[in-house]
Amino acid sequence: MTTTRKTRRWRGVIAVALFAGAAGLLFKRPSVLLLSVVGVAYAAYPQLPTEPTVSLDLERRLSDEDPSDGDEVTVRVTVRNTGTGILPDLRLVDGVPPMLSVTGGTPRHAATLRPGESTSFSYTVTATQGTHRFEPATVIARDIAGAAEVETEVAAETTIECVAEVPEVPLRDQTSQLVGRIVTDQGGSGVEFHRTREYERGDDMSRIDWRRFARTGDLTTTEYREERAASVVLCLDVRASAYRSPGEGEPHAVAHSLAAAEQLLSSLAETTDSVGLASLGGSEACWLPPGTGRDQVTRARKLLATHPSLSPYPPDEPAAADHSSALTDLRRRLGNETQVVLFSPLLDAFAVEAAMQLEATDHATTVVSPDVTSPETPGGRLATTERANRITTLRESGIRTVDWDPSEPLGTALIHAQERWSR
Amino acid sequence: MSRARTLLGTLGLVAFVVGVFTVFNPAFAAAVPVQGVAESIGGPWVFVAAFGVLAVAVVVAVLLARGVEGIDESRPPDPEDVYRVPHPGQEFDDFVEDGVGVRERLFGDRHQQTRERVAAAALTTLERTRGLSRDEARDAIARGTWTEDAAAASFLSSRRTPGLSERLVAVFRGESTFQHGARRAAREVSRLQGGDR
Amino acid sequence: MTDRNPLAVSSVASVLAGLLAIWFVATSSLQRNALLVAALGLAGVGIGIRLARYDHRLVGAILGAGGLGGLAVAFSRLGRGSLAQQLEFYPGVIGLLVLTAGLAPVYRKYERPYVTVGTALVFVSVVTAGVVQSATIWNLLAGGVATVVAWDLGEQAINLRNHVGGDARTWPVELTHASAAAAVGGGAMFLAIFVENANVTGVPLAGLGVMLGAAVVLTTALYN
Repeated sequence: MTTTRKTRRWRGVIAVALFAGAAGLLFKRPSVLLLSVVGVAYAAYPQLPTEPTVSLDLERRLSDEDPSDGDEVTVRVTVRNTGTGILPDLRLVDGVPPMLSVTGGTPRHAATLRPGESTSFSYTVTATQGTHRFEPATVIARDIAGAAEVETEVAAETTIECVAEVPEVPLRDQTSQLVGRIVTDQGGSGVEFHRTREYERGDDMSRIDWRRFARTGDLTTTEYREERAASVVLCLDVRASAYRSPGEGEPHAVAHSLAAAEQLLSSLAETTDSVGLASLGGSEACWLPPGTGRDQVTRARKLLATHPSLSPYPPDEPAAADHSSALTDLRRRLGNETQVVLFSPLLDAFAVEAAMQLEATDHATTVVSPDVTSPETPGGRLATTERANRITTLRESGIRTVDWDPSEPLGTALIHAQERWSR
Repeated sequence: MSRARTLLGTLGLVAFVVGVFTVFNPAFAAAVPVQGVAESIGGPWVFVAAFGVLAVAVVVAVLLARGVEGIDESRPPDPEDVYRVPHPGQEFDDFVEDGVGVRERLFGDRHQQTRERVAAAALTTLERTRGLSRDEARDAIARGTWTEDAAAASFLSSRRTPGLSERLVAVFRGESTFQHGARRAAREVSRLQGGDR
Repeated sequence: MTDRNPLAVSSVASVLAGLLAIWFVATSSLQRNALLVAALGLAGVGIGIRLARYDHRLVGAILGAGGLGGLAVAFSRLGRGSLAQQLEFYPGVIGLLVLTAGLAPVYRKYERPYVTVGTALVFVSVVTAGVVQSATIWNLLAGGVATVVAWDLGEQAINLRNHVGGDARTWPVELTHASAAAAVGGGAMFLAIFVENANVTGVPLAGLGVMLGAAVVLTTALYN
């Protein structure tokens, strides 16, 4: 979007000419009158029609496209004037991803560019978990006198991906018929030992426990736990109330949720579990039906990076917006045997209600909740208490909840949670 | 440059050149009929002085106009910091810490909402941490026996009103009794919760 | 943006241009000596305020006070001079103090007005020098050009800082603008000198009248 404006900074310079002229006339000094010629020249200077036409090429080079959490990434920006006119006053503000902060140098620059000339500058950002997309750089070009200004944007697709692998995804017992990783309590022909029972006619010969037969003469069949594949939908709470952060300079809960969803996606992709994506809230509901394969993962990654509801910026909805119809739609879309992993900071009652409704309608739900509360202010302490109560409510209802402190890796939190669930 | 501007500019420039020319070629000066006009208004000096005064007035006007309308320049975004969003509980802090205007006090229901919010948190926390039943918890809150802190107790209780000492402390701190009570109540509830993690 | 003060290079250049303007028109040795003292005083005030902005309050206060003292000395030196010399000196140096205060900055909200008023006062000095006929035509015109360049540099220090901040590399753009403004001024100077080179005996009334009319018309045409 381009805006052109007149800065009016030279407004009133004609006063110089008038003042000199008046003094020259009043005191009859021709030399002072000639000074007003200078004033007139300066009054004419900003009227010269030299509005700059901006035609630029932007390129960013990252020192590390795949950093780990906390690593410093140096961004080197090069801008080239691809137009035919000189740009005497070019000011640039680079589009640093909203969840990253600049820790060295400055993303701003000013230069004079002749046609074909380029200029470079660099700055450093500290990477945090998630996929960070750079935004278009803001360009402000002024003419030689500084009287006319053109403001526009120039873009270059650049992404920093900082995604750690999660060791194991905590899926629950609801499964679909595809064979996969989940160990169920149904006996069958899977891999893990379940029990031994009396031989029944028609049982598979390979499953007869021959050693026991040799020892005791009894024919018995060994049953293994059936492994079945799970169908999982990663559901992200992206309502306006989820965009909260503990303080200045910290990412908000939705950024943590997006990063967590990406991590789980990577892990699920390595198994035959079918995975889908959904959003709770947002201007346009996001829905990717569960599927398997590399294409599915690519589609999911693309949605996580580009879908308008899954954005680092909060939606424009009013504070008391009602999402119950969105929840009903989601329930309708979820098939019968689909599990849900709900990513939500649990900062209001609706999040709890959503989890409980999903669980009640036969979608085993696991809640991963990034903790973005900070007990520094009275309101913060109240919010911490309310959230703790909500987690207890969910756990008492049999919904597994992972209370995740974003300062530690998600993998660690999941491992601790698994230990707790298997006790 | 607009047409009017160009026209006026050319006219002015031409007049300027003619004027300058008359300075250096007095014969030409006789051709321009200014003398008659000058005589009629009382002499050439008045003429000049009037213009001088007018010019000074215009200078002042121009400078003032510059001050009033100001410069129009773009405001680029601030990408150096992480995009800011409120912290959880910000609405509570804004209402309780910053106080509230007269209109809100008279016509709004934010006071009631805030009380209800803290009461709901207190209720659930009491049930969980002290193992009380819902009715017992509600009773404890109404009687103000759930906490030692007088300000917190009176904030949530309809039976206990804030005593003189609580009011004085609030005034001392420069806030209303409501703000003081709300803050203390929030702190007490979180302290209750703190033991059970 | 961590450095939120007007750009250092342009600010210093602006005050230097203002000093140069007065240097051109205040030609007596008394004035020029006092001007040098005043320059040191201004440096003290400017650097002092800037250091205070960077949180070195004590050092800044000391430097600032010293600077003001230096300016007082410069003013008192001028007490010995003639009325004309004083009239040429005082508005200009006061203007430079205002300019320095605007760019240091003393008040963030008033940076631009201070720069405008400061350079306007310097211009008053230049015009005064022309009226009391103490400077040659070249010096007078050069003084006028230097004043406008000082204003341009000062305002660029502010608007460039607004957009890009003090941490970025901005001096090529500042140099471009200053050079262009100086070039326009230089061109105007030569035009004026060219006109002056014909003999000027006096301004006949007719010419006066026509030029007044021209001035009014031009003002309307060239109002930005």
